[in-house]
Amino acid sequence: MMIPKAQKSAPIVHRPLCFLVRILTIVLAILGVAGCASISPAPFTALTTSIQQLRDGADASLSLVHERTRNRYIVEAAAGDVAKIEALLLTQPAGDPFGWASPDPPLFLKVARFREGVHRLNSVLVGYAGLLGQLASPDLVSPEQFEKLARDLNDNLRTSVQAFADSGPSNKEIAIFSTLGTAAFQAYLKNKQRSSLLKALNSNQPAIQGTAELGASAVRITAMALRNEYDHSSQKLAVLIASSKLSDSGKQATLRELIELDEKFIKEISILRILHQSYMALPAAHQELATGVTDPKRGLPMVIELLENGRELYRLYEELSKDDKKKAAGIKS
Amino acid sequence: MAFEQTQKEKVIESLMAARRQGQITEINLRFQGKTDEAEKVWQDNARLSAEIDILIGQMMDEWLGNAERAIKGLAKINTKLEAAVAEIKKQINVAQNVVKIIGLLDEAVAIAKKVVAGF
Repeated sequence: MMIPKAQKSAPIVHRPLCFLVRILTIVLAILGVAGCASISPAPFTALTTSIQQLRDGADASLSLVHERTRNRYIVEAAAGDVAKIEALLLTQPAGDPFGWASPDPPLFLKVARFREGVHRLNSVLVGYAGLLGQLASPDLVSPEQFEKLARDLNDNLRTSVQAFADSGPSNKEIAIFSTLGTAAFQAYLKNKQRSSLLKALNSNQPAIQGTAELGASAVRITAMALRNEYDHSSQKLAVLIASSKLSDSGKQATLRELIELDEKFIKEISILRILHQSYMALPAAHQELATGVTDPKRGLPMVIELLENGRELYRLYEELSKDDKKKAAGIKS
Repeated sequence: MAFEQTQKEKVIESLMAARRQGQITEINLRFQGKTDEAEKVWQDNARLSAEIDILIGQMMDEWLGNAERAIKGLAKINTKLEAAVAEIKKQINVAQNVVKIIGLLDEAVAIAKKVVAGF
């Protein structure tokens, strides 16, 4: 068999390099990175933003509930409810130098603890979404990093190979090897990034379902507590209006106050409704992220719903804040 | 995700609805000038309100117990995710270090060649 001269005289370093280039090309093709769309970070950013809005919205609503239960307690205790005053005299639990106890803890103290717990749960959820975002981020396996890696590898390899063998591969061949080598590594890491993300999304789905149910339940409890306070406040105003001692103008002013209380309550309970809807949409949105990673062409309706809910929440907060400012200005003038 | 009210939620909801009816009755009685009857209804409502406050407080306490478990579970999940992110970053660092080492080796070979040439 005739062996071509050129092949026969191929340098030692040259042959393994050609082989490696071929192997790397196959690896790239198996991983399908050349034609594979990278992970879109946008839905993950949207999820983080939405959960942050959930956390802030729930906290703002519970802050209102805390303030109102506390104010009601003050009014009831001041009216001579001895048990309510006794409940405010905290005692030290035996053997706990830093503890406190109340014979009958007032509701506002329970609301404060509940608010803290809801905030903690939502904060861990925000942390989770943020970590998913990090794992989905293009910056984690950024092309710039690998371009620099390929350049450095190319520079270092060229001089190294030339130092070992005088008749080594050409600069072009080394450059191809460096590029393919780092591209294969990048492909491997991108693949690892994608599989880690998918694994996390799929295996954490039940946990997210459970957390979302807890979040929704917290919002329903908050709604109950908010309605409880509204029932008390509106009844007080209605009793005032029914009083024969109140003048017509006094009755009109109290009626106006009752209407404003109703309008405010309707907005506040609407906020809670949206928060509840968002928690209910969360598991499906989380599931969509996984299907979106597998098939980027698939739509993300639940993630979009979460974002739209966030916009609606913002609008309602703005309205409530405008109402408060108007009221404050009215009191001043 | 569909939701179902818990038994306790249903109980509180019906108690609040009953109290609301009581409040409306009280207002009507006051408008009719029947103050004594209105006061009696007010007292019944106050007792009901105390029960409602206790039940809402209990629901919050129960929720906190369940949330504590969920927070611990999610914290564990977050630790695993942090490790996954760190692992990818670590592999990139290792690659960068390998490339650096190749550069250092290259310098060592050049020095060795000079030394050999000197003999």
